[in-house]
Amino acid sequence: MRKTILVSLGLITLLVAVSIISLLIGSTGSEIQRLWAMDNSSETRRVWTILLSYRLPRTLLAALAGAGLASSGVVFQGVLRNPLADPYLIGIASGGALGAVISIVLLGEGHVIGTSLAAFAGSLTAVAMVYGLAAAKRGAAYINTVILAGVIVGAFMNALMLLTISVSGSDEMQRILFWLMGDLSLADYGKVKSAGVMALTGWVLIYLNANRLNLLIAGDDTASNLGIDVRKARSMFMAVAALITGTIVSVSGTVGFVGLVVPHAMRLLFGPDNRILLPASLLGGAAFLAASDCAARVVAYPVELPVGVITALAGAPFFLYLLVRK
Amino acid sequence: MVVFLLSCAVLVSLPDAWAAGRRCVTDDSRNEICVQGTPRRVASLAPSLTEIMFALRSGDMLVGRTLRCNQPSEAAGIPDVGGYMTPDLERLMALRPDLVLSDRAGIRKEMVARLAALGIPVYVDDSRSLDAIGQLMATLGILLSREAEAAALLAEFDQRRSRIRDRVGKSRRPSVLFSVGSRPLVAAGGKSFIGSLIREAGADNIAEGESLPFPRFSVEEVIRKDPDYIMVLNKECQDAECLELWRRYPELKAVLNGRVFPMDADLLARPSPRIVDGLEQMAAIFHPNP
Repeated sequence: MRKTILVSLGLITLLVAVSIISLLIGSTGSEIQRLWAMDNSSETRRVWTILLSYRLPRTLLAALAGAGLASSGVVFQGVLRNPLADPYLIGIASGGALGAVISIVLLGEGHVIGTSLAAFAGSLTAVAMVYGLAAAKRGAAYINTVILAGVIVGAFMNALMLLTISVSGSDEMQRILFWLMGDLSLADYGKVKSAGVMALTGWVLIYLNANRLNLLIAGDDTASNLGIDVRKARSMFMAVAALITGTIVSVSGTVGFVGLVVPHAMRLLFGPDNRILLPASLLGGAAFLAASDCAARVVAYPVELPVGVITALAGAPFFLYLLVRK
Repeated sequence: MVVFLLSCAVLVSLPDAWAAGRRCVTDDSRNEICVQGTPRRVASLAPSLTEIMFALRSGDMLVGRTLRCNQPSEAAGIPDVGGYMTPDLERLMALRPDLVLSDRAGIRKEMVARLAALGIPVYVDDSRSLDAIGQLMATLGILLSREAEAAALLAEFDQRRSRIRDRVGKSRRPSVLFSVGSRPLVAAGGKSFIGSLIREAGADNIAEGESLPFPRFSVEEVIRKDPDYIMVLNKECQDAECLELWRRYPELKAVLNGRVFPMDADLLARPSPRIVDGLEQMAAIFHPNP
């Protein structure tokens, strides 16, 4: 318990530091000084507008998205007992992408809410399909079926998405591309609210059952011998994690590597006990994506990069390092 | 013997007669495009080129167009060969054209090669400035035997441009953000065609120095530069919706003063003669009191 508290406090400090730095990076020294000026001049108002209307919702959304994706990653890696599992494995990303692309191409303009809802619906459809295919299996067969079904459903939805893209005009291409690579630039407080409520509620539900997750990793037989209803526990975990991921994908597009790499990094640092790993991944994921989004915003200013590019460039070498270490 | 000499004479003079009707121009891919006499079956693979053909009074030569060729209204009656940028080679060939007009985006290099191998010349246009459009009209005039119409069109084109130059004159140049996409924000940079229009309409583009023609722009930079005008291309949105995004930043000068304007994509994104209409529209917005 003490370790959990220490780790959490340390990571919270890191997260706050990263957030403050993200909010300030990109502003010149004199602009930052303006923040303290209590006048109502247009320059001061301008700096505050940038901070409050643009950077703050964006940083908050990045933190929440990172937290949600990393926590879901922990859950999927635990339930499926597979180090390569990430939140997108069971077709959530492909389903979400298909929903978003259909909305962008068919509805043409499509309100942002429309695209998000369509993405969420797509994610849920994919998960339902995977779940339906795997529900009847037990033990190792369940895990293999989930992974296989996830790959199949994912491939199928990808194919439909490519079909939709090929009949679309060029106008939508850039929008689709940025959605597929992750785009946090459209963050607003409404999205922050919905992502926040989902991610944090889901995380609390998972954390309250962290012990059960530990036991599930030990094996189905061990777990049921110790009194856990394996099927119920698995379904509950996957459902909550899928809902979290689906919500995040619908507001920020498909940002890769966070759900895969952050749990591993936290496991390296703090060990595999989920009671510590879950808070660590929540906070570490938040800090990672907030920092990546800041980089995406600043590196090629005033041109913005998609955040998924940064997470991939940071995550892939790290994964390579893990592989070489083993 | 006489018959032999006569036929030799005929054979010798034939190439000359042949050459007399033959006209060649160089297209923007540096290929020489030649036609024999006046083309009778022309296919256009770009909306801008369809418009120019009708403006040159050669609409009767047109046998194929793309689905996006919606101007002028007479074009609707002509069969289509697929969408813009996605023409159907089979349908195109079925029309047996003796000349194909396209822009760089409307046809792939492989298709140009295929058609050339079949003896069908393909003129590829890559006009990226108003001067280039003027040049294009003159060139197509030669190709389609409509030199007189082209000269008249060009004269009017140049005249309207110089009137705009006079209007803009030495007045103060306002700053402008031209948003080509809203989600995410994509600006028209200095290197883009729209960028050149903004310059000619007498304004300063806040994305002027960008190396990409259509950079994915940061909202922060817009807030910093606080442009006098914000123009939104109505590709993704319809009029009122285009202004939605900007309402989130009410401190912006342009939003405060009601200077956020939707612009017609068909008018501005197309290098056709009507581009001057778009130019005049923008000049009137940027310099309301000449």
